[in-house]
Amino acid sequence: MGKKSEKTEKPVEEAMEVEEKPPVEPEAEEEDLNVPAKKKMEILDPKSFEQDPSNLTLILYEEDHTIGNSIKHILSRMDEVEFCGYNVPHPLEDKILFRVQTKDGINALEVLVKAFESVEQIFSTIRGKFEESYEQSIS
Amino acid sequence: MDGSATPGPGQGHVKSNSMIYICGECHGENEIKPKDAIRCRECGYRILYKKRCRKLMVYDAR
Amino acid sequence: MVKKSTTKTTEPDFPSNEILMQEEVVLNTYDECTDYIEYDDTKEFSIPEYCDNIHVAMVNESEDKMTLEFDITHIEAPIANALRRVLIAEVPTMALEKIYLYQNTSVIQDEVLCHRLGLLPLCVDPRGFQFPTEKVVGINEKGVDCDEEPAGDATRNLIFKINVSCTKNRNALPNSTDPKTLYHHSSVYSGSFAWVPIGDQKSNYTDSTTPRMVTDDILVAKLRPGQEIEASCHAVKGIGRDHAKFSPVATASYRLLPTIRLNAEITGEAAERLKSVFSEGVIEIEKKGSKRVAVVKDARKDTCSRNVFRHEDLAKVVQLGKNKQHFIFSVESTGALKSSELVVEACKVMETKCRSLRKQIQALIK
Repeated sequence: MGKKSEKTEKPVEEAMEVEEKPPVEPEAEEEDLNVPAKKKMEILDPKSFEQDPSNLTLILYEEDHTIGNSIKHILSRMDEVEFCGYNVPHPLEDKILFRVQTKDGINALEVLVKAFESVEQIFSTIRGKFEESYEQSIS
Repeated sequence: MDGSATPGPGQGHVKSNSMIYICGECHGENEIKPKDAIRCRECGYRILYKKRCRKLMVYDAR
Repeated sequence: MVKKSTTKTTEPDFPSNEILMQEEVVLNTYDECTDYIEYDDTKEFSIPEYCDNIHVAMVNESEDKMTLEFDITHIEAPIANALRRVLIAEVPTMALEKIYLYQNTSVIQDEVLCHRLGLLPLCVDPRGFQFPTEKVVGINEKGVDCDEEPAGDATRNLIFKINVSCTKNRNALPNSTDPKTLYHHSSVYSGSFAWVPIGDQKSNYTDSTTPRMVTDDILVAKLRPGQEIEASCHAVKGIGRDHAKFSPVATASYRLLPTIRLNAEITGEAAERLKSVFSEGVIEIEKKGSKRVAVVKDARKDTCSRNVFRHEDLAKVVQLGKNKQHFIFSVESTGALKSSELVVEACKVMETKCRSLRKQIQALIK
């Protein structure tokens, strides 16, 4: 899938960004005494996931339809995925629930990782093509 | 009145017992001493308002 | 996922990547590749191929670079919508956050004035700043956040000061009624704000890039003689998700490219009528031999009003639709960054988001 071509460009980025936190997240290390560490994600019912790693429900905090719909869109086109979907349990709570069911023997978390890589690649492509097209149009 | 509530600043300040009040009609400033008649100097209006204090107020712009 | 009904309604053949717009109903709005079980998926979905197919083209850009229109093709709605949502809510900007009000004797209440100040757009590049630390601000024994204004962090804050007081204009004509001539500073505009550099912030900016308000003529408050406003405002970096004042776009929106098909030749008076029914520039009349025939010139200009369906005879020959994979984006910046820079930043934000979530999931796997 997208993994092989991506690995060539990733090492350059990874080297610079190993310890980089995305700017949206607060610097949790400093504030650990006052503020409890913010959970970004957790597996709903981890025991059942351990028993059967092809079914997964993941709770993502502070995310919404922006990520939910695009990841679901990519996941649903992947071969290994039997079922995928997301929902927002309550509009006043800032979280989404992701459900992934894969074919037998495939770990759902790894498939989810692939989907995130793919979306990252798509937006990276859009950015590259946009910059190219913009440069052309102003010249 | 301000002198008793907050500790005074480093440099000494003249403790005047006259306060500046704002006229209700012409919005002019009047210095009124104790036992003075409550009357605007410019227009004779008899309702005077106290000036807003210069205390720092912090607001979230939300 | 939805099962496509096997009994097809008798519609004229239309491509599956088009939304069909009829008079009262809009059909085929689902994405075939993801929403139908029976989609022919014999070809494996490959991301590099998908990415290769994506095409971006500029349409036009305004003089001041603040409005940009561009096309993205061969992507689907979830990706386009994610880009739009990120443009509106997740690209960071600088905006006034803490207002240290020394004096406000105007008729505008303190909190209303501060709310208005927060919404003023700043012409500052937010990429040079960091997000504020999440320091829990304690309340001291007197019940206020702080006794004096903090100095502000040079890497996270910008300080703007305003000090305006209204006075009577001695030189005004006796019978004038216009407050602008009667008083000095009767209206407080955003141009009254002055940037006060913290530390060595001044060295980061040139004359043309100094932090200022985007426009100087935004009316903030109105004053009369004796009233004054004195405040020191601290700006921080934030995102639109937190508060709308941090949104970098006036709006970012997209529409699908309309398609118009004429199933029969329309000539003469009907052609003139067809031309008038659509927006200007959509339908043109061409001479074919001795006949004047209606031809679809530029479907992009169509506003999809479906006005043509009000004419029964024209409705039978015209087929309106929208291309589900062709998105025409329109991005209007508020002034901090150029629209093209905003789109690039939005893509970067989305990439960062995916990267960080992916790393956290990988941590969960271990």
